[in-house]
Amino acid sequence: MFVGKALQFQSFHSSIDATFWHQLSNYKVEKQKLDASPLTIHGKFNTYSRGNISIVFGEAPSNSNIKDCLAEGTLLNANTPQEFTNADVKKIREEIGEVLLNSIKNGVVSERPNELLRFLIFSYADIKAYKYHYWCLFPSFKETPHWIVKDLSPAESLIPSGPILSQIREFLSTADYYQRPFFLLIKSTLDEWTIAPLKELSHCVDKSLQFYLVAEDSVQLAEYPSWPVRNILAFAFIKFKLKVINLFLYRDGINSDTLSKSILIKVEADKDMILEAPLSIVGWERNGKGVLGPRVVNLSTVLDPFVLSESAS
Amino acid sequence: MAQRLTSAFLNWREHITPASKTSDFENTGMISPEEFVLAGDYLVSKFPTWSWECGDRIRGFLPKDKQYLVTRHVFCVQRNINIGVNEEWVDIETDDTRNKDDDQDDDAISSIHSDTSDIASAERLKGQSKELSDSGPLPLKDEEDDDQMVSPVIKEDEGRYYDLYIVYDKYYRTPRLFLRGWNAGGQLLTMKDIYEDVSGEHAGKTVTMEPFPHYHSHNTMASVHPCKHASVLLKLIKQHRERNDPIRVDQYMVLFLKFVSTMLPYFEIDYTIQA
Repeated sequence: MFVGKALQFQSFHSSIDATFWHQLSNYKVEKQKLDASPLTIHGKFNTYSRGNISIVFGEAPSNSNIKDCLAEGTLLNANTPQEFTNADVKKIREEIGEVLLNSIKNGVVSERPNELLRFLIFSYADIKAYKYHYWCLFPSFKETPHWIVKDLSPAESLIPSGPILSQIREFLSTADYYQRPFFLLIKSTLDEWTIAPLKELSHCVDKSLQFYLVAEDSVQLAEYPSWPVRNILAFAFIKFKLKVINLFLYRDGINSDTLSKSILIKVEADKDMILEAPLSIVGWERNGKGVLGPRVVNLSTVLDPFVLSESAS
Repeated sequence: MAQRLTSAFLNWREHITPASKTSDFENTGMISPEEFVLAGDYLVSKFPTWSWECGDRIRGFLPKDKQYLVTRHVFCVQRNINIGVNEEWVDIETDDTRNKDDDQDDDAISSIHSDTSDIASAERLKGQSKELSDSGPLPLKDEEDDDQMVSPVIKEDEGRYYDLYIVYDKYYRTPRLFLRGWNAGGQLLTMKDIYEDVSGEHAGKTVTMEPFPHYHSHNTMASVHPCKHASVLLKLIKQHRERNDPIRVDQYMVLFLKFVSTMLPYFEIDYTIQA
């Protein structure tokens, strides 16, 4: 993040445990069989997760640890390798992008801010060989404006950390889990800062209140914020036509007694409106070689009983 | 096969050992499950990269939501980069810690990143790339010019990532470390790869593949055998007491982590205590 330069965003790095693939294999064999309907998964990250999102099988638990932000996701598991290689990945991308755009426009995001982080995994599980082919889509809009950094300062230089920290803690521990990734810091008429859920944004805009969009940021990089920040900016631009935005990149985490890692940035859109329609979507995660394409992970060494007994003897 | 039977026996032995209730960690270096939870809570609050998890096989002597500790994606530097671990290299498993001279340490380290192992791992990587290209890159030209997204440039041979798990070992009454590693391209590391990342004196001796006790499935991971843990921790506890800086039982896991870091000198384990 450099003043005068356009903001760039660090992509999420998906981190999928062997347990996830094991659970998918079991589910596939025991329950799903050849039915290819999408499965519910979720991902979790926090201010310490170094740009990683850990993918977990099943629905997001409502009683999750308050330090984690949860993103809800869909797993599309192809039945055959042909289905996997021949799939129209552009179509998959456009469909999830449309869901994202709709939930921004129809107000779903205001109520459930983590809808901005809806993601998808497209996979093929070669169960007998313990090989899992997959790739992850963390969708964003390509044609939203570039955000030029106008101002950049440490959070503590402008905001008294003491009272704010206890408010953030209070908010994160009482609000529903889907409120955690994004919320607001509003300056009241009495010159006091208060934390509020994202749905208060329309009120802030109507009353021209001074506010910061707060985003939990999972990277500590000086150059970039992480992927969720791109989508909260898109939301503010598409839904509220905001062209100048004060961002609060919350990087300290719930156990910290300071806001010493958090950053305030003021950004300005480099264009007034989006000319291209329909909006094109980006966000397929690159594989290990930096190419837009699937990864394959071979888990025979941890899951295959045969390989296990071989290596043990 | 013999190892498999031994491993089964050890698991069974752990299974029949009742969980201890009394605390004597200052004299034995061992902790009870309650103390494991206490020390784990302290670790989670002070080292926020660690979390509690429950797995799918609940062990009854621990709370359901606090079965084991985990931190994911710990970076491990490439082993042929000469990092300054030599000065801090502390051997706490043998008694002559202080007397050990530097030359010996250098030897121990250079044997880990010898040239041959690098060639071997490069060849292995080549093999994996071939597999990957089976399903090839897809035509997504329109995404490649997205100038707002920055993807980290990954070279598969530059660094590895580890998920570290701390479980309670009921037989030895100490924490026990399990680890699973990935290369930068997301491929699982083999036992041999992992040996390159643990300090020379542990590779092949105290680090073995074991079933992870909190998963039902055949989910094996590298694990550091805990037979020496209590004596090492006891030594560290005594050192602290001698320095008039006694360790409270809830700080036990921080001590354990320090011990772990000496076994895993190339790992960037987070030591920043959040006040």
